[in-house]
Amino acid sequence: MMENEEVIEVRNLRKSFGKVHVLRGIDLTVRRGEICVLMGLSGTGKSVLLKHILGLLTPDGGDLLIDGVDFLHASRAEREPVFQRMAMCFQNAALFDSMSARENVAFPLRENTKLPPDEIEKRVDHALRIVGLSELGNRSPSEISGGMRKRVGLARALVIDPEIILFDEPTTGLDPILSDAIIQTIRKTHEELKYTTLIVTHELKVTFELADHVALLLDGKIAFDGTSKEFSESKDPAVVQFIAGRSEDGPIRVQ
Amino acid sequence: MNPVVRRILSTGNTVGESVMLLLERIGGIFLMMVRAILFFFRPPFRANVLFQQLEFIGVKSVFIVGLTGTFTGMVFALQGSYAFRLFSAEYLIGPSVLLSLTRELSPVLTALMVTARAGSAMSTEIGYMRENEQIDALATMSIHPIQYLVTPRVVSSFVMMPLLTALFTFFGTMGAYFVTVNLLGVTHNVFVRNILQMVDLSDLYSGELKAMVFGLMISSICCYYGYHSRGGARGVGLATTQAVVVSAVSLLVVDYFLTALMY
Repeated sequence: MMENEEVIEVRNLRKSFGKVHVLRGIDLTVRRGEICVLMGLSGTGKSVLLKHILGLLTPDGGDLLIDGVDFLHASRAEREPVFQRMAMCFQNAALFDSMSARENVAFPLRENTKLPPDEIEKRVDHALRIVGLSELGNRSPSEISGGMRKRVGLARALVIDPEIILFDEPTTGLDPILSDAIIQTIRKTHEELKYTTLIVTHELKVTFELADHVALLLDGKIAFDGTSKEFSESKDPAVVQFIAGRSEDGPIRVQ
Repeated sequence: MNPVVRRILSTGNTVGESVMLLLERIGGIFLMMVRAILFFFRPPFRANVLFQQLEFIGVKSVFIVGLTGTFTGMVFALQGSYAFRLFSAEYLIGPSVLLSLTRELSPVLTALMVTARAGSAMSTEIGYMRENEQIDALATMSIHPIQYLVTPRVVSSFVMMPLLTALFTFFGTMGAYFVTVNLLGVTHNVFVRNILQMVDLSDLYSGELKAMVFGLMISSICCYYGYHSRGGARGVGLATTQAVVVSAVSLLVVDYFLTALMY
């Protein structure tokens, strides 16, 4: 695999819901093995962009290439292998409550591979150990805490050994200690497994701790795109305001 | 523009929009049913998910269907006895209850019970899964949500509705027998002989056919509303209400046309 190779390429992506223009021409490139953090205010279309990458929404215009496959024009058969290498961690973990947390982790393997049951169990144990939940037992998703659910969600993503993982607000709604635990888990697993990552968040700690590459989404466009260092040292008034977290005193207006 | 003309046009618009919405819904429900059925014949086949639904829709409805069936048969026998007694035609109580049960009451009331019990649960569960991004999670794992969620429910309803309907008829007959023979004093022989003379197997089949159609309908409608629910807890609640109301109303409408076609 080539370093610096583009894995996710978004070009001039546009999407409107009725009269609301959510994405007004997004350009974003995520390279192999890097952690890209997409920041922005709540409700500015960050998750909408993720849903396009996952194929859950169809854009009004623009291009989307993942691993070189033109997603908007490719057939289902051409996209399928890419989906098999991609995993998603949802904001609320989106665990299936019709099964136990452990079965949730085993689910993608049971559905998409022909592995024997003992091999699946072994991989589930491994994935749960990576996220620090070896003692999970047979509890259902409703019986475990929000932080544990997020980690089970991460284990469910890791278990298929993906090349790309997308995170939607991995730390939102967690206390600072638990947030840090999630951040450290992502860092540790990323160092070990070298997957390509796109994290959508509005929390600066995630950015400063993890990001190789930061993009800031404002008003449906990418207002800043650069390295983590460039982001923290930027003189761009929007970036400065975002980092300082001031609702007035800058170009960003609260809507 | 003349205000009267404008008013008429805007009313026309509103009516037009409602009709479009109704057609869109009907089309959407029908399309979901067709896709769910087609997905049944396409691998992967998930026997465990199907059996879970067969159990939930079928086995767990047995008690409520038996109970309502028994009392429906009992009350029909009692009501019939008042009328038939006027012409000393008590021997007709059995056949009249059986004909109403097999042709109409069993399929319709069973469908209503299944809608209330299982249909509402389908809509709520799928609606909650939509709300909680579980449906998106399925899609990201290359699992088609319609195949995983809707197909087993539609197929299970299709399979279980005729069985539950037959059960309803059985319990209804037992209830009618109890009231007619034990309480009203008609003899066993009169009750049974007249039923055998006047009720055909074709009456039973027509009811079973209705039950299959109803099974497809209610499951598709309930899954459709859950699948397309929007707007949090309130949205899921609204979807369930709509699913149950639309199922119940369309059952009775379709029942009329099926009856008109059959007899």
